[in-house]
Amino acid sequence: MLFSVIGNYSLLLGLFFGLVLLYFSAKNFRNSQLLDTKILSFTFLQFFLVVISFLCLVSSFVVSDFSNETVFNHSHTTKPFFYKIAGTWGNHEGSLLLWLLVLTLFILIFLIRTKNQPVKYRVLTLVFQQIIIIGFFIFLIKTSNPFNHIYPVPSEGLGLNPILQDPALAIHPPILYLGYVGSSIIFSSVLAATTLNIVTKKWASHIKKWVLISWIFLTLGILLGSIWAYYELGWGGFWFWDPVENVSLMPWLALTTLLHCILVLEKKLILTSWVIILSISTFALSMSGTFLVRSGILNSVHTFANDPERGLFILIFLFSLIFLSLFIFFFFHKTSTDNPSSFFWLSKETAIIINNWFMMYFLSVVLIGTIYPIFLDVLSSQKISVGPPFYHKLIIPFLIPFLLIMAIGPKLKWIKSNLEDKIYLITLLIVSILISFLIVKNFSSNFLINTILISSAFYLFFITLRDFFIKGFKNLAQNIAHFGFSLLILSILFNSLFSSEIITNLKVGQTFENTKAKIVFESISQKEAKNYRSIIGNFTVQDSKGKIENLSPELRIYNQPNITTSEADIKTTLLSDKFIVINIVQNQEFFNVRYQVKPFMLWIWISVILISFGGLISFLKKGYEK
Amino acid sequence: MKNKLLPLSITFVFIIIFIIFFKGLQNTNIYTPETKTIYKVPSVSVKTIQFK
Amino acid sequence: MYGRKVKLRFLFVALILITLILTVFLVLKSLEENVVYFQSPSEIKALSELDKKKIRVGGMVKKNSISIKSSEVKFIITDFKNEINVTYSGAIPNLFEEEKGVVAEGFLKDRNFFSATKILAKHDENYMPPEVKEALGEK
Repeated sequence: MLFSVIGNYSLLLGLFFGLVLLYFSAKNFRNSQLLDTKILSFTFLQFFLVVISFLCLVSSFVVSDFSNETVFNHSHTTKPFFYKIAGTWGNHEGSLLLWLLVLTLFILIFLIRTKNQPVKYRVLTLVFQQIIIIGFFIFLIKTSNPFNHIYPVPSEGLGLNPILQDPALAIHPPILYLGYVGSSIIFSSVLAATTLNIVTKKWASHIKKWVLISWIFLTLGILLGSIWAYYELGWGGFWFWDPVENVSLMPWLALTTLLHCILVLEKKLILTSWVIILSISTFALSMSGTFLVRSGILNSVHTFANDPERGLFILIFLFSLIFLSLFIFFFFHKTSTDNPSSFFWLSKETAIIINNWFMMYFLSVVLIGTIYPIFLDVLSSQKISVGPPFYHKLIIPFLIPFLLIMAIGPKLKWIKSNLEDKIYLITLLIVSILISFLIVKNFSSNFLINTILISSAFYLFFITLRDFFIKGFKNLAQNIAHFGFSLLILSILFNSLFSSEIITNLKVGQTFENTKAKIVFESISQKEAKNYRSIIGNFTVQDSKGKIENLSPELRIYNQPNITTSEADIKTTLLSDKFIVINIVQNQEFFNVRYQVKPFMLWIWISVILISFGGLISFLKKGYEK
Repeated sequence: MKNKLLPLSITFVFIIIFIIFFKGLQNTNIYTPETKTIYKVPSVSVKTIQFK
Repeated sequence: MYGRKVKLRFLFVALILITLILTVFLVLKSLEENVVYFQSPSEIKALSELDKKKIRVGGMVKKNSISIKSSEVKFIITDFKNEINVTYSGAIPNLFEEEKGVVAEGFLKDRNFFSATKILAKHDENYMPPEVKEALGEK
């Protein structure tokens, strides 16, 4: 109970200090020799108050304080300790507290790390960030307070959804938010920089670290979400083009594009308008994502509990920020009158601009696919869903030129270049095509496009690999990231080409056999755990080579809430995963058995880690290369 | 700004988008699940004490 | 004649416009082909022409209608005004139960038979897909 009181008042105080900060910022802005030390102190205090509030909520979950409505709705005394803590942010109210935590933390770090920047810039960035922070405080306190009391105090809670009791999903929100919400700093600082007309090469260098941090965490956050979906949802897939997934992918696409543009702006004063637009868009997309998945406007397999009142608040908040940004952009931004005198087609800038086109195209496809159902429903009351084929048809063909340019682009020099190593480039291309041909020739479907696609991916693969061995640590970050991307595409392609599955309904003791595998449903065992009962199916699976594997998928029956989940048994090796899942239909003797062989799953995860590792290397580098 | 066409048209587009999302919020087909709330209320015995 | 800078800018704008038009065209075309419409059993009965494309059918699983064999599952989807028979050979989500909401995706064989390729379920026993709720006339 005490936790709720402290937590609630900390939030109110935090809001108060937000307003105080606005006041002092306005004062400091006019008289701007030095940053008012009060500002730094209050920023820290605001962050500290949010930390206290957050810790109060965590504590409430840990001690199962059911006088707290949020804890009551989302926890249970039998929940394992780790998941009690993770339950703090596994719900709408708690996750908003996490938003505030990252928002206040990042502006604090920003103020500390920008001691050498002009005071007006630092103060103005704080102002814009505080607008966001205050908005979220009001949203939290008024519509989504995590510290509501309920009385009489229940002695037991309604329980956390067991699907969410998974380690990957537990750390997925904090990591994702560091990326997602971290882009708020980019948003605030670009608005400040535009107002002061200092979007320059120097500014690009300065903001690059922030873009990288946000990007690294966003990449890893998305990875964790996919890993969870694969291990937990039991469909054997890792990406479903579900709105919740798309909503994290869109800021990632904008942020990646921004990252590349910053690299250009660091060297040459071009694309400034575009950098500003991208910076605004990334955070706007993050916030839109929040709106789309929490307001009930979209239907998805895994959304938060929905509430139109909250949706309305976010909608108005989001569009206020958008209109504010539009105003600042059109009013303050002066397109530079001194255009660079030289522009050559064969240069790194051109390659990056072309990359931008592709990225914006991909972003548009995902955006339209996600939002179209809403528009159609409002305009013509038709309910539709946009499935994976839409995204695949529109994205896959364009990956081919995208991969090829990704291979060649980095080899071009800034401003003007002529292609060196032409012999190597052509040789590797031929090698890639040959290898792809050999791999794909046994498949009759989509032969041509698969060959070309795999060739392009292999091309990028070999080029980046060769660059690593020939050029060593030069451009290491870019090399690793691009290599990781080629590995990702290759893994996904091989995974989809060579995956196989068997679906059948079996009773205990029955066997299924075909040319690929023999599945024997040996027996059933039962187990009791802290908050669930489980039915385990014991299977032996023999593959076409005669190798036998024991797999034991589980059905878990939870007590609170009353839900049954299937836990797949997955045997992972470097080369492939064997994946089996069972489901039971009420009152029937049969179990629905789904057995899949999925090659290269592990490499999909490894490649994304490599990509973010590339970002990390760039972040740790001091200065930039000539 | 001399040329106001671009900012105005973009603002107009965003206003339209806002209106569509706003309408979208009105009929959201939200199904509120019947939550089984188990309230175990602690029983308290009360004695009235009369003060003379 | 026009300076080089102007020509470059013109080329740039033209390229953007072309890309935009191309994108819009591709996207609209793909949407048309890949959008999956939702029908209730009553709507299917009322169809004048059978939809050959992939559609989704939703409603309640009729009581005592589930029958399982090793290679397929049969059941009936009802909206309490009309019904349709469904056959399905794929993975069954564990929230698939009689007298609960369901959405099946697949192809109509005729007005009475639906061949499903996918069954959708949300991980919440109280969930009813909004389309289904509307079809059942609940609020």
